[in-house]
Amino acid sequence: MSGSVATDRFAAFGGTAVIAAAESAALPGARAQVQRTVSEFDRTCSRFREDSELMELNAAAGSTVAASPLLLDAVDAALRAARLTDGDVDPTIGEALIALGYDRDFASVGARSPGTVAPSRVSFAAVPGWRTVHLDREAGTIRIGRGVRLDLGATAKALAADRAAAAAHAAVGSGVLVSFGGDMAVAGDPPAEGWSVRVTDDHRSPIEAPGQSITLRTGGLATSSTTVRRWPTVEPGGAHHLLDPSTGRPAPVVWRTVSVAAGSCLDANIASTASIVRGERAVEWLTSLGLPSRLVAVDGTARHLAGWPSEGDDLP
Amino acid sequence: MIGDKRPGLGRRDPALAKLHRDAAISRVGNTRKLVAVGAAGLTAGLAWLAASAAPGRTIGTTGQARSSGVTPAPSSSSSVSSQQLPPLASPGDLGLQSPGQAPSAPTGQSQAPADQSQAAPVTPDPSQAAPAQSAPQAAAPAPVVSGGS
Repeated sequence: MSGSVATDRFAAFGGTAVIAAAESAALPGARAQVQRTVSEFDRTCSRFREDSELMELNAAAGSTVAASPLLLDAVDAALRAARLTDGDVDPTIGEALIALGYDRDFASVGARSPGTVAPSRVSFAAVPGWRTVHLDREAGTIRIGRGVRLDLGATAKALAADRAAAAAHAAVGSGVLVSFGGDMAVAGDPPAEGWSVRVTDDHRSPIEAPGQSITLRTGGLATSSTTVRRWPTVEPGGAHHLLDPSTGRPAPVVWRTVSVAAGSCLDANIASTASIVRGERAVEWLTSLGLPSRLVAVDGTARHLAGWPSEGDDLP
Repeated sequence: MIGDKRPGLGRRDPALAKLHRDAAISRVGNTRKLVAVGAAGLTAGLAWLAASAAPGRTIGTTGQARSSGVTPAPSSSSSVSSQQLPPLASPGDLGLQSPGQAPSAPTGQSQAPADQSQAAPVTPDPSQAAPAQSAPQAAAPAPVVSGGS
């Protein structure tokens, strides 16, 4: 056992993927597994690839379509998220995101910065709701209502992190941590000191950015923030990517950032995304679920819930 | 009876007649009580017999008689299968799962730099290595940043 933690990173899902292995010798094998998982999910679930299976499904709205096992899993995970959050995390927001101007990879959307082009004129589209999606596991088919467009971004990336971590650990035996855009899953035995994680607003931030350092040993961790993936619009304040499905508009900003630890990255992502949408109601909800959480209000104050450590937080 | 020569009858002694009437009324009352008690006992007996013969059944049900204390086996008939409970939910469907262990504050985070030299070396990210090394109060290197994306 080499006993040293090693990390590697590459671009994935419009952000940065990070792989950490508890044993440095295991890193190349772990990275290969993670890249394989990324390719599978990108080919299947991307809303920005014309050749993805999700795009084919969206194009066939109104018809029953045979789906691959991975797309079935991803849509199933999205529907479960909707059920568990009473629709606050809803995969049928695709059309509403497009109406808001988020109609391409965010690297392109973000290029519409003030001073370079005029702010986008936006419209708002009602969200059809997750009950318009019918998934038949036995038949291996999915049918979405006519005019419905799925966006699996909120949950597919987290599911990919869980799958990638499990696959990498199974392949190399070492404990691994996999992070996609700051949403992370761990598998296997962590290093003796645990996985060191810096929690902040933006996963691209340097480690000295205001936030909190914690140690993660099991499950998953996800952070949702309204400070990232924002783009200028004619609306005051512009738009951000976390929509309230009940309105089809960006969720009112009560929390600028919510981080949640859960049994898996998928569950953590569901909870953090829903908490942004729920605003103040998230405090009671997360507490009742016993999900360790860190919520940062717009004024920069941080709340630590359900066992999340309060020590060492840079924010008051 | 006509021609009865029993003493007193012919004279219709009012006091004696009253005694006879009261005695008759008393006998009728006793008979009624006896009949009521007998009817109650008979009803209870019949009910016990019925309960023993067909336990657990209610008027109007069409199911078969069950042997007492035994849970009936699932039936394959459509009328019964429609009343079966739904399949057990998977753990994931029951709700969002808490982590096996909550995150914790890093141990020795604020310790002296000498301790950091014993920390497991981490392959640094080029964009993060320089600030981490240049910060004199920096904690052990954080290999991963969790934030919005």
